[in-house]
Amino acid sequence: MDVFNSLWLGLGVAMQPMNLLFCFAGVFIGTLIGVLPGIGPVAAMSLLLPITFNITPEAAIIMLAGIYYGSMYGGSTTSILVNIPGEAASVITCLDGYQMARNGRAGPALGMAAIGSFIAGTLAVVGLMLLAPTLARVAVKFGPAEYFSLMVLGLTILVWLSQGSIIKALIMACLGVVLGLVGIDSITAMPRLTFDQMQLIDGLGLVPIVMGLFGIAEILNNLEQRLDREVFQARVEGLMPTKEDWKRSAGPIARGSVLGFFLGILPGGGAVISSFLSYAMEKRLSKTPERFGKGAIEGVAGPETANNAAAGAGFIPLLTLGIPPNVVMALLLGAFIVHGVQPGPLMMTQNPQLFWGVVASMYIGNVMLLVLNMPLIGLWVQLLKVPYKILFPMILLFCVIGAYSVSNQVFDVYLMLGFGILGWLMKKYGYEPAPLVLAFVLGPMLENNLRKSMILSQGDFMMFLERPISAVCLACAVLLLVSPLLPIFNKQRKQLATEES
Amino acid sequence: MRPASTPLARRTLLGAALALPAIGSARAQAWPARPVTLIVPWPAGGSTDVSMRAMAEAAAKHLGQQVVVDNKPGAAGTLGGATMAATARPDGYTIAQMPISMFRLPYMQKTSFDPQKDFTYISNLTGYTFGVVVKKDSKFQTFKELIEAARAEPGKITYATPGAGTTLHITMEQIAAAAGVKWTQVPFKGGAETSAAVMGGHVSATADSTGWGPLVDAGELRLLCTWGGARTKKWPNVPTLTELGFPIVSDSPFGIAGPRNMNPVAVQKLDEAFRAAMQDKAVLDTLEKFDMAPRYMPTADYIKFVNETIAEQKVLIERLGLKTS
Amino acid sequence: MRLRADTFTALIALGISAFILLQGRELGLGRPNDPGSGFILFWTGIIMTGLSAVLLVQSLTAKAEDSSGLGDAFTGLRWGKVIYVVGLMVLHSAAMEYFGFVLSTAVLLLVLFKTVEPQTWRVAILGSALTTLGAWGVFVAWLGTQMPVGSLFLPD
Repeated sequence: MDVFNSLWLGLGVAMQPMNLLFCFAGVFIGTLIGVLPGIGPVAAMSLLLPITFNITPEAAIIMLAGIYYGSMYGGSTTSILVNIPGEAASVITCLDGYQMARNGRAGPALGMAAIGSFIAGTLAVVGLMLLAPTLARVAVKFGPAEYFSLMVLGLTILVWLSQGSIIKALIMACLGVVLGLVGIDSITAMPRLTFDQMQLIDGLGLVPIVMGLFGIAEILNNLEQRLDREVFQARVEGLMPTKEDWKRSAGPIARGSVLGFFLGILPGGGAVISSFLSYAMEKRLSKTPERFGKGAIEGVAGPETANNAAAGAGFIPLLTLGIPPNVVMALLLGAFIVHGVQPGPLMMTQNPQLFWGVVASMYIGNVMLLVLNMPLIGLWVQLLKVPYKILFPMILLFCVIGAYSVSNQVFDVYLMLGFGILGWLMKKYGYEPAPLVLAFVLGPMLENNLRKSMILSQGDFMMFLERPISAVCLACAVLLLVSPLLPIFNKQRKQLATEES
Repeated sequence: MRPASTPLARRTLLGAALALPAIGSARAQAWPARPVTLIVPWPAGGSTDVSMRAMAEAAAKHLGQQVVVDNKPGAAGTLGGATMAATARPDGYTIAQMPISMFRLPYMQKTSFDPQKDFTYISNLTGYTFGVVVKKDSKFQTFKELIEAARAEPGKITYATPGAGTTLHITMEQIAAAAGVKWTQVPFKGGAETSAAVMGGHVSATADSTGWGPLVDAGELRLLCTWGGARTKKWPNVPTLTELGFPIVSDSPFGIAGPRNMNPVAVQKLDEAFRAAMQDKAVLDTLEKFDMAPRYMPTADYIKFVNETIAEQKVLIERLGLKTS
Repeated sequence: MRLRADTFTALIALGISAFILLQGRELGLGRPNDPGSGFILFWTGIIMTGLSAVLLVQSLTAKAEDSSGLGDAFTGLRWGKVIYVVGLMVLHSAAMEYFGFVLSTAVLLLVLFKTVEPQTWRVAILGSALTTLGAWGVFVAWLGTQMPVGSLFLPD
């Protein structure tokens, strides 16, 4: 009953008119930020941080948190409409979401993404409320060895994501790992592959690479064709998901929520891994895997749900241990400190009205987001009716602004254009960008954790098998790799591999 | 993702528009005639950015002109200074925050700037609070015990840092050299991971800035020592390194500087303004929230300090073998 | 005999792998209890070499009618437009630092609207003016994105 008393206290705080107003302001700004590619919640939150100095800590944190989970709702919008993932977690949404839009089904795709996000967001808050202290303690048990094995599993799953040649997908993954390693090596502080260029010391930015390989490359591919033939099917088949869509999405949403929630608690990369693990899982479980990559709604519902659940779960290590699992949470930590509150084990007892107020506001915020996003779908679908020859210069411009705004360097715009050309050529020769981007994110984590594990175990490889979580991850990876050799799995595997032709 | 962005462009535009008619007579007039741009080489919203913004606001009151913060994160905090050295005029209207990496990176790899020649140092401002923590059920009650364990089994004691070549890494190795022991660094990526690593029992200890604060207050972690010149206000029972017999003060102090050959009038005015800022209540409150101790030094002292630091960094980097070329 | 597309890309991949491999070696493989900076680079290079070699063999042994030539991917397509647009974008980025975001963007959009899929002057001018203004309003004025002001307009 304790939890209910606390929630009651929290609702009392969250329902104060002032806090409701700031909650709405937060989710509203978050929605807009999420839709604009490149400009993420970090930029918006750091901009608004000084403004919150004059309001109560409750209102400030409620608004800033709203920006974060609000932006997760909007993140899928550009992926679906114009093939530009706003962040790494939305890369996977491009695969089927954009195809749905080209088939005139942007409405159901956007709708299902919003509904999935709502369900995941709400479930994550329930989980946060009931399990937070316990789970945070489990999460710190994840050491370098466990992370390494999880990354191995993640990279193995890339094979299941490829639509065409597996060899080519793996080559792209290798390239992604290498690109991810550019910059100062955090273990030895040695610059790698930087060729004495100052711009490369911090490594290549994810945003320019993703926007180049997906957004710019797609525009270039469309430009080559005759533009009088429209890119998007003019006939729009309904704005809302059909009964059939619901039936297909129910499973992916349920599985995505659970998967995302648990991976989201882990510091670093949880949202990204959960989104494509969910995609791979749905493709694997589907009776019709050949529909994936051609506009399967499961490929939108699962990953979008998973990354929202992960976003919600990300609050757990911050609120209960004071450990921010990602950049956004680090910023939120700064906001707490500026307001004189230290998130950590003591926060729940020292500042219960703040802790529970923020938690309760997330329920309210998620409802607001659903109400806010559903009418917007119609507006976004209308946008696709603008002729492509008018639309493409604008998309190009947004990409430039997005790439520039992350680092304030023109270098990143050149980088984006370079990857745009690369992506354009890659598509011509049957190489896919998704494995490259995911390996770019996971590769450095794999490297870093492998080396830390080796330092800690003093060179003993058995460490990975002796620790149970690590061993389970590795076993799953091995099973996935050898499964094509087993005759039972073989039939299914072939079906997956040949679906392109 | 590399974060950034603040409402600068608009204000710069506005500032530029307001300043334009004054250009002709600017040199004749008293400095400053227009807003000063302060480059902060860290992402907006972090502890360094927030404290620099508080100082900028306080200094602006004294200068009678706006001090506009421009975030240029990158290259381990050196991109801002490097850009300023390469492009800004030495008129005092562009200055930059100078983190310790400005004095360290040139010895680790090729850089486009030379900290000895390319800057006019103005004043030192403040530094961070660093300390070593262990898990609550760790057998180490004091820092001495940790060192003795490292002596008994060389290399067995592991400590997490937020990265190789950071002040944390370098100071821990300085301590080991002074005590004649050997322990093993495990570099994590950034501060958040180090607290989790020590809590999860993956390393014996963690050396980091005060991200561990709330966990120490909650009794989850035990603070063995802090690295400032004096004991901290928040944890007065915890000894400093000096008290433990290691004459080391390690707080990564930072100050401000302009491009080389800067207008001396501007240097003097800026030094005065930032000295006033370091006595401002709002600034001191902000610093305290982030556990940063004020460490103001006037221009002459700061230049001396910079020269010493540069020489010291060169030796340390070479001794630790962090040099690449 | 025409050059097969897969053969060509496999050769490029092989070249990149060799480069990665060498870079990895140069950075140092380290020891088992402390793998060096080049450890993963080196092994990634090895794996990529193997993969590229397999691709190369596959491409050479595939039946002629199943494989496409290097140039096939360009025939019948207006790839000149792609080069033209990317060139304009590069110019725009370079110009942005001197002429500022607003001016260079307005010109870029005008040229894009007018030349890639020629619009009427009315549409082109209106489109570029409104888009530039809208983008500036939302990103710079409202969200505070720091787009270049242009060194041309900065006071001395």
